[in-house]
Amino acid sequence: MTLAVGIDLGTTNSCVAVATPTGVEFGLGPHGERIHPSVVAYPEQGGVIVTHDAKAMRVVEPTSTIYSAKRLIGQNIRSPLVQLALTGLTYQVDEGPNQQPIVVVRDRRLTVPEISSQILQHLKRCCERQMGDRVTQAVITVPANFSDAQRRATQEAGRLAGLEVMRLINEPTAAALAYGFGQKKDEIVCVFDFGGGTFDVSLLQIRGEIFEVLATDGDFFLGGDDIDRTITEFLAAELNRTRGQDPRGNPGLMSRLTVAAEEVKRHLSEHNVAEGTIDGLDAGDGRVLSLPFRLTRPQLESLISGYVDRTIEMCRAALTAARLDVSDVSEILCVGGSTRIPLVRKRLAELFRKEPQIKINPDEVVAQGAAIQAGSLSGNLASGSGMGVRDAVPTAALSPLSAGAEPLSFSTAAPLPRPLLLDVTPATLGISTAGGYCERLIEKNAPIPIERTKVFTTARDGQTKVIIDCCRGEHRKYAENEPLGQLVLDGLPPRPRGAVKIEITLRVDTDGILHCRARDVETGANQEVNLTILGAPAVG
Amino acid sequence: MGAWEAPALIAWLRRIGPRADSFGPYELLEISPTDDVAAIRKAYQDVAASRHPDLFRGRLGNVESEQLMRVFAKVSNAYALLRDPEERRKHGAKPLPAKAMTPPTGTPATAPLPRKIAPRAMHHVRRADTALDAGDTAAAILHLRMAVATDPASKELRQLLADTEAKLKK
Repeated sequence: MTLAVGIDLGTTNSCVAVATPTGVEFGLGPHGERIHPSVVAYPEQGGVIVTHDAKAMRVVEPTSTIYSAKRLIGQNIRSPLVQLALTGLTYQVDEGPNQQPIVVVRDRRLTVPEISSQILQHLKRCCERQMGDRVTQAVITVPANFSDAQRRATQEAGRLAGLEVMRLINEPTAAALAYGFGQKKDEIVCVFDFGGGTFDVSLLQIRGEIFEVLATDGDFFLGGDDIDRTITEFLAAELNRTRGQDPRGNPGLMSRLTVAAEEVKRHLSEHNVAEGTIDGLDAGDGRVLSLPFRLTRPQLESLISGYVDRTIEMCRAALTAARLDVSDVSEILCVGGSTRIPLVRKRLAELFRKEPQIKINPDEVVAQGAAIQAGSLSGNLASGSGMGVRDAVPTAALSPLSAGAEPLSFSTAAPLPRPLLLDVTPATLGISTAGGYCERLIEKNAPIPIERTKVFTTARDGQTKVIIDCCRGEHRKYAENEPLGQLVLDGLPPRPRGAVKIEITLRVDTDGILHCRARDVETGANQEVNLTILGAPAVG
Repeated sequence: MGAWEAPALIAWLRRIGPRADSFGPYELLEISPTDDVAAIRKAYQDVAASRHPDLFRGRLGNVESEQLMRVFAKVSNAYALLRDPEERRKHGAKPLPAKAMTPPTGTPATAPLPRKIAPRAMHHVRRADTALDAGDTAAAILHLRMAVATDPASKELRQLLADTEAKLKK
């Protein structure tokens, strides 16, 4: 028998789970850990080191240890946000073909999917060792706000790791699935997913086994990494002020400070003051410095309040888009490590006038939801070849969510419920039209899979070729939106302008991936055109 | 309501697939223009629960899978249009009836409902009633036809349909 696993491929940490006869089981690392740091190191002596061991390399070999690769996956390297993110990295990134980022480690040039596939392979091996079965299929989660290119690149990473990616599902949706599966709920929940690199908020209606996303909002460049960077900046300024040494521009020193910053952040989630000394800071000119520091929780909160404000604003936007009032939401699920920050929980409770649900494990719930979906899609969950009806009970009992919830009870005659996820598009998709405007075809928060067709026409006399630029964003001006890719329709009959009718169909499939088709209405010639996606690995 | 059996789904695809382009959003969602947003959402969830492509993964041929994906994408599109009040107005929806006031006592709000109708056809009849109240005879006929299709044995239903059709001709 082969296994279908659920993988939460995170910015900072990853997690893998599988629906087995004894319930949802997590894939454990060599030290028995459920959480696998998303770090890949290419050491001097060759080979590849991943997760915990790679994380330890970060201080020793900062330029060949790749972390937070998810922030670069499927990104257009020329986009301003990516350029900003690059300034904080200790490894080198170049522009590759199709404007995709290429990580340079000594003489090797690596695509981001190649790096992520190392993590996926590790997770796959962990499960195989543990279960004694081959892992061939996977459901991988992505932030709800991931663009088309980011999704394609994530699929590519799965393929490179030797996995059939059955489905990409959105992280908040996966969390809601783990929360509500088999519980016969009828309610509206808010999933607040504040992870290492991304932020998403989704509002879902759960009705039995149907999980319908009503609206989603988020930012794929907002997460714990940004909070770490803020604290690192604080520490760097302290070092400069007290020791006269500016560490910016010294990757080794910055790595040390970043590692310390993460610890300070964690400490301040539990305590009111973080105080101590960072020793062994090698200034590079023979001096070894130590930095005493003191940071209080209120100080940290004033440093990061801008980020937290932004997450709360997006919650409001999602509520408006779903036409819901805060009182309609019966549960707020906290997902992602950054929801451990007390300020985040406090602001959430203020917004919803209700304490967020903290019984769930914010680091594991996404992988758990992915495992349930993998079991459902592969048929193992429903047909009983994997998880039998009898076995469904321990699944709920083992679930970190089950505290206080009713245990699953199915009569042996009834088939296991099969969850159904109904998701939405995270952004408006449109195409450029004459005058530099953007014609919207598929609106933000539209249910997927969806297909929409609009008729366009030529702008000049005798025009035989049209170039269709697709973009993502809410702005009316094309240039203000994020370009996605281009589609060329050639061989049109030469006619006066406006006489040729071109039918353009955009379709978003169940993975959230965009397909584009153009048709010349008069001749009926259906030209399937491949969309070249910027930032994504070349197709084929 | 669970997933349909594969043969039922294939029959449905054969019937609706080739004509899906000409179907309006109400037909795709199997609802009437007088339904409110909650009913539209429920209709979408019902279609999804019975015919979502995920439910038939690995059980259909390539052609049918592709056709199901297309048809379901159109259903989603219909849902996206109808749940947005502005888009819905463009698609010829009757403006939602103002909330009903308490009717004066003594006069029944509608004609007494006919008896001897199978319970499963009753919700079509109720919808037809609502449509008649809103003055939309055409929609009422549509619902009554569905009621007749559900319970072909009921003479009362056919009579009701004939009466309503006669009303439209006037």
